[in-house]
Amino acid sequence: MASVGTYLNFDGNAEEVMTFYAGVFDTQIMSIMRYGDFQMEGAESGPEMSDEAKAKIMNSQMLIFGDYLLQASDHLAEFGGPLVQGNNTAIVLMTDSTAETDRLFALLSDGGTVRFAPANAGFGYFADFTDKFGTNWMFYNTLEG
Amino acid sequence: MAGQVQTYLTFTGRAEEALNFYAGVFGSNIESIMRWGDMPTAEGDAPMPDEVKNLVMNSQVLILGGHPVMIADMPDAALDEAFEPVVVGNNVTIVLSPASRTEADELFAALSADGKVRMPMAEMFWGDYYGELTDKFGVRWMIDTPAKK
Repeated sequence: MASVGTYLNFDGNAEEVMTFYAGVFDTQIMSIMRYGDFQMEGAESGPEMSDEAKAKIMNSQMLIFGDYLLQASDHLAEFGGPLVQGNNTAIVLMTDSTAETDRLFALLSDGGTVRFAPANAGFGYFADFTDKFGTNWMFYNTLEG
Repeated sequence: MAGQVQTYLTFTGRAEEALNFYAGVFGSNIESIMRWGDMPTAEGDAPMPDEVKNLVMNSQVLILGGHPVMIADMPDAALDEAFEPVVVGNNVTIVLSPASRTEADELFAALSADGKVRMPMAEMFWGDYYGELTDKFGVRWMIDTPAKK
């Protein structure tokens, strides 16, 4: 079945980030692959990767909210230049209740930058923040009754 | 823990163009669109410049598998310090997992029009059919399907 997920790049702390997210979302990291685990076909003649780079995360995966695939890796500047943590993309979480939004917000925004703490924003119950690792999140619940 | 995940994209004036582009690529309808000028104003608010009024404040389009993408414009930060400058990053990528390689090729071709192909669709070492691109609006996409045809 067709699906959509989100892929996040970090500057060397992807494992710490994914461990944090697994705790927040009460889920497990399904897989971790490091750059050192990966042997490019015919790459024997290529430049040797540093031990530091080998230990970095090439891919890590988890499911949040049951079936949403969240992946992360460490960005290596040699592939595609420096990492730029933008604010043009956010992950929006629609929970089952405002109480659940409050609970997850407290966990996920800890140490981050809150732009809008959970509150009735007119169009719904809403929150907007950047977590301590630079990922942008929003919460949104429709207001009923 | 149940719930739904959506994606929010912020642009600096091209939101409506992007909205129409994605609706075309994914063969879907624009679910809603609200402009900055539609916002209720309170007495004493500074008048909103005309170039801001027509910008998209919030809109929604459904992409692959019905995933909702919200799209908005952030007005120029020079107009009002409340408008946070938009930084286009390379830290977030939307991953599409279509059900077939044919659909993967079609989506890749449509999304990469006038954009930048970072990795053309090809079978990868982990067995999936995979490609990467940045579209003409600066949004990053990966297309990854385990399907064999």
